[in-house]
Amino acid sequence: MNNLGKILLVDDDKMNGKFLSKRLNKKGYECDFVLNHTECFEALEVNNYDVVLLDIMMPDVSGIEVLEKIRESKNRFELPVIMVSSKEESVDIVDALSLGASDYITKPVNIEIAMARISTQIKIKELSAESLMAKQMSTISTLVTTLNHEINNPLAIAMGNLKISVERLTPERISKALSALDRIAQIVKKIEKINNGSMEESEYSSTSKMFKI
Amino acid sequence: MIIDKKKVLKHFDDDKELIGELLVVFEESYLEYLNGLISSVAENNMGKIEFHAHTLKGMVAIFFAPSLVDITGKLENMGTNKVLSDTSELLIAIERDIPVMLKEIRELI
Repeated sequence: MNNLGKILLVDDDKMNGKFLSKRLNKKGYECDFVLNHTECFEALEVNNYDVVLLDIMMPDVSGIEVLEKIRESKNRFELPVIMVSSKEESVDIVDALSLGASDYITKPVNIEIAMARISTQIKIKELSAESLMAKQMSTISTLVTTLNHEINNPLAIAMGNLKISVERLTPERISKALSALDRIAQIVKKIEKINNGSMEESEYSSTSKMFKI
Repeated sequence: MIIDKKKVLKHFDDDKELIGELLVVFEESYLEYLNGLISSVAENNMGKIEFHAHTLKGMVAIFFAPSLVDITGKLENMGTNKVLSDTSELLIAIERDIPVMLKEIRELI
């Protein structure tokens, strides 16, 4: 059977946890089941999960607190969290959604509804990753266009002046060539800033973008 | 009947083996929560009443035992709202109905 996704289920209720994890495993998901926040963060440390199913009402540290801690490092597209609650916990559900929960399911969990919600979150996560990848590719393309333009112009000036200087060496032409080479050196230094993310992207033409350097 | 057999079988996708496994988990752990609930009522500890009743409610809900879900739900709400009433009757009803529920589940599998 295909692996439909890797899920972490956090629930202090052993019965609900065992029921849900076994049913999800049987349906083709890889589901790890842990009983508390400590085991939850240990599991998140060493595994890459597609979705977390998180019980709201747990002793010691509630599901809402666990959610807040997860959201300190992962946004809802990087790690979707579906809250598991009783029907009476509507206030908690609203709180959880406002704090970054992706969705919720109610107990006793209907496996078909749970699977539909999990599947939706995994699809959103995959689309988000694809969108991010496309944006990164666009950024790289912009960067290449920028560097090509910024280096090519002073390089042409330097080479032109040096070629002429071979026949008619004048201080003025050597100065122009050195100035152009200096410009290239400055651009190379500024390339480092792009890695720091401090560059501002701007429209260059109707078909391409460039960085302001 | 305490449990809704049709709903239980549908909920478990007719997986009687899994029902049996959860029955074992229930039998191993429910007394801890029930005794915790009884003690919490005696101590007037509202937070613990809410927690133990909530846990028991989740456990009996898996077996579709509506009367037990209702009773544990009432106790949970009392804990939440910090107002207790008729707790003795409710606890007696839980102690009376859980063994019946367990018997019905055993017969089902």
